[in-house]
Amino acid sequence: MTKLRVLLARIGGFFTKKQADRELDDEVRAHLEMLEQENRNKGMSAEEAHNAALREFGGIEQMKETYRESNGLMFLETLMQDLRYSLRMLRRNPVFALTIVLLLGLGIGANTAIFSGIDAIMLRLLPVKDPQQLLIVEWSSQAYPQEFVTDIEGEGRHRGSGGPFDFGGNVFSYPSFTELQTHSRAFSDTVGFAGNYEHVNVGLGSHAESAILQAVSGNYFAGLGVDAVEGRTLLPQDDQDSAAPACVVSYNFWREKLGEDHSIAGKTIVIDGGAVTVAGVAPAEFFGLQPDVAPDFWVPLHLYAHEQQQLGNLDNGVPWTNDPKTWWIQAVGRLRPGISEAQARAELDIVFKQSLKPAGGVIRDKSKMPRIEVLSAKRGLGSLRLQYSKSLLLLIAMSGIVLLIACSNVAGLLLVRAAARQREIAVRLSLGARRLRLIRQLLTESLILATLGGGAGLLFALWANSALTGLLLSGRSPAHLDLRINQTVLAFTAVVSLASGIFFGLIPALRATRIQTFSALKQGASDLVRSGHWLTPGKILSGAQVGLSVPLLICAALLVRTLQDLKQVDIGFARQHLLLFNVAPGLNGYMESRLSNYYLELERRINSIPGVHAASFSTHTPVGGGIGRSGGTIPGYLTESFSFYRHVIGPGYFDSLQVPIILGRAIDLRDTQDSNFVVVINQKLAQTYFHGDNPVGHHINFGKRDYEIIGVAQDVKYGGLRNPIVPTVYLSYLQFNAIPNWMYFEVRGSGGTDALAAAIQREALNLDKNVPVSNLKTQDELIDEMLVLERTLAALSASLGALALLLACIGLYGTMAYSVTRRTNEIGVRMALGAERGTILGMVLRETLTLVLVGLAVGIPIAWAATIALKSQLFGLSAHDPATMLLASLAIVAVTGIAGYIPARRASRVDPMVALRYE
Amino acid sequence: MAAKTELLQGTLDLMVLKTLEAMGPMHGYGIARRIEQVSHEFLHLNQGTLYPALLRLTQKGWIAARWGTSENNRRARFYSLTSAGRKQLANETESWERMVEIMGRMLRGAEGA
Repeated sequence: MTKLRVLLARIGGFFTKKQADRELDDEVRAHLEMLEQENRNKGMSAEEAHNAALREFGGIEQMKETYRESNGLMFLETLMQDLRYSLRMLRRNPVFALTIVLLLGLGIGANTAIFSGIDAIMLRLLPVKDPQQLLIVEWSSQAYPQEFVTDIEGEGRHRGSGGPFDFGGNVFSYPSFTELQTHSRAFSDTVGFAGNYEHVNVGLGSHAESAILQAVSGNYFAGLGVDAVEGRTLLPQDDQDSAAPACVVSYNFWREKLGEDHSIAGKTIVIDGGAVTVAGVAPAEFFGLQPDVAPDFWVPLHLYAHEQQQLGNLDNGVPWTNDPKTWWIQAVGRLRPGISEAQARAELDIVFKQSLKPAGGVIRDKSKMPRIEVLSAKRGLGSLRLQYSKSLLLLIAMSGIVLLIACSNVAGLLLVRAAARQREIAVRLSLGARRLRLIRQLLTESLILATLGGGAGLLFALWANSALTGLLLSGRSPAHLDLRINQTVLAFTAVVSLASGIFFGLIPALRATRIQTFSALKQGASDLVRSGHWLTPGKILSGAQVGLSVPLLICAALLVRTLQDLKQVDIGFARQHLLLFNVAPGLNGYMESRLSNYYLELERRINSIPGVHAASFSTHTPVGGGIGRSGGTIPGYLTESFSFYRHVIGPGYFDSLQVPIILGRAIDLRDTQDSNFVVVINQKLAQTYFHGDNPVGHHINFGKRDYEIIGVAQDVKYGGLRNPIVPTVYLSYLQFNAIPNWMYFEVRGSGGTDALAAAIQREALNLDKNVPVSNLKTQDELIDEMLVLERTLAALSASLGALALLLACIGLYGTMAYSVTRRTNEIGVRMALGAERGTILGMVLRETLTLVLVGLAVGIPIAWAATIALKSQLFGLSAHDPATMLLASLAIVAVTGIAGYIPARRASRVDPMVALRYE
Repeated sequence: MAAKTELLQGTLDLMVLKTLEAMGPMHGYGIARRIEQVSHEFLHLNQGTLYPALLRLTQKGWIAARWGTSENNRRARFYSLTSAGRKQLANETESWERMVEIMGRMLRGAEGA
């Protein structure tokens, strides 16, 4: 109670300061007069009485100071005083202030930008109800579980973990999914969605738009707690065989493509030629559970399976919703309160294994059964996160080092300036200023600079974020990446700014106020940072900055070289003058022989374009699309089924890619649905399984039937650029399942790409104006798109590395320039005693070089340890690639050499006569 | 040095409160004089130090201040004890006396114990 009273009284006093001062004056005057009066009554003279009164009263000014301190908010007053003083000091030297703000802005901005990426991809929770309750259900097994599954439409791969359960996947068959949904007591809701999203054509009256579609279970929206902003979401009754086709539109698509039509609910929209009723619009912030895909449409699983059936995608003769051997649904469950993840896993494992029985039949080896795993889904799932997390952590570490260098740079500047203010500080200390008070004042200045630097950093980060988004989402990437400066990011920036302010401000402030007032006053302002020998704090800082920039530059160099290597990697065929595009006539109702005729006719027409050497088609692009796989055995050579890479192609494929056939013949027009089923294999397959025998004439069995090997093609890359070459089979598009309803075309031609592209568009339009040509680009462009992550990482790390080196150079230059200025006198003496200009130049350069070499000696071991973390990102070179290390070190020596040369040259130009008079 | 000041400060507050209780409303000069008289001039007070003490006591609500006219017609600030101050004085007196007793016993060599 009393404390509160005092506080209130002080606040009152703070605002009535002037009046309080006047009243105290009056009071003191009255007191002194009374004392004087009394003294005079004792018989003193007027002057004696006055002096005695003053003596008795004691120090008036000290008393008033104590009085004022008690009457008001001392903390606030000194703070404002410090702020005013600091701002005055900064205004007096705006270049100095601006330099520091710029340095900090770059450092803090880089960190803020990278952190907003971390926030978007790693930290931000899904915009659904109670995201922390969500669990992803996955499975793992010892090997590809071929007894239970024929097709995985989603993720299923070797994890490379080396553990016994190395093969893993995230999709389930519809029967397994419904079992999990109905029998799980650990989950209050189990929602599902198709593991693959689809590009679809949406008819919008006058024209068609490409959109991304994802199939979801009927309880998807309700289970996630997401409500529609217009109309309703999908319901369980929509997800049935007999239900009318319905969909939910994303907020973005609704706003941008449907004109924010508020009466959209209930209207019909045409997706891939079929009429679908729009049930409603999803909220703006909802983009599904995968942060790397932002669907435009959500449709029920049954509708999707039905569409796939219409398109001929029946792997086992039944729709996917009835097929236990096609695995295509990802499952996410909402854990009931009080149930542990381990309990949920154990329960789901039993349900899952039960559900596999109809598919597996007699299981030879129980241990081969896949088992269930659960993972937290609160931040969403998806490859973007996994893929980018590592890179982001690397980048934040790098930008952290950049900030560290910037801060030590600023500390160096402040140290030099504190030296210039040494006299002022000495005067104030000797006049009785408390050291703590001075430190506080100097720190206030640092914090003002840090705050300004943080502001500049935010501006820089805003710019960097838009550049970063552009870099990452280049091309047709369906990713949802929303870099925002939100509260989390702002808090991060604030903390980083303040921490840097204290970091770079404290050391100079402590040093500056720890001086011998007497000698400082006598000597004047030049020797604060002298500690007896040449290794000044400034130089230690410079050496450390060089040392810190070493690992950054080496990491950046490794990543840049990886990018170059990947760009130039030998893909096995000439990538120049190869144009790729995609058509999907199956979406326009083409089927059976009409469909294959369309492909052959388009191929024929393109071949007739002047300048075209060869055209062909295939279901996947040669490099840069997905890959297909099929399990097969080779009678006589391979009894255990192996999952071969499978490439489904049209006639002329090897011609247009210019891939030589080494043995036998290529697939051509002779190979039809009615002829002998044939396969071309690659060299790798021949080498791996035939051990020198001639493979031609042998057969490969893909479960349903035998394919005769008719030829061996030279090895080429397929799928990703980093993929090694693996045993691959080429099948005719007429001899594998139904005729695919889409195809990628490969066109090899000379002349301008634009002219060729226009001619292709024209021919396709002439053939059928309703079948659009999409994704028309060169193989080079496609490879560029594939390297988005590598390019982004290389660009960012190179920028950070360059920034670090630049900052280190600025620091080095500043330190050496200051050192030269301080030693003008000494240099003058040396020259007067006969030292050559070259000697002086060499002396200063040698000092710089020593600093740089010490920096390198410290930095290279750090880099050696740090680059190990890069291993998985690199391609074609080791993490300790000696050439890269050497090159980066040489670059550092060269660049810092320039920074050191300028002050050295100035030192050598010193006029001894002027220098000797200089003090 | 610091310990002494602190002791002095604490005791000064108590002396002011006691003076005001005994003498009624008084101005700073009067309070200083009275303290000097009671201490038989043993205590030499820098009279200025009284004013920060008076401010502190006012802020705590133990004394109240108002402007008035002194016996020889000077404008002066008069301080008087509030009821909270009276209570505080009683408490302080009691604990002070206890402390004196303890210290006394301690210094005499704790005879009975």
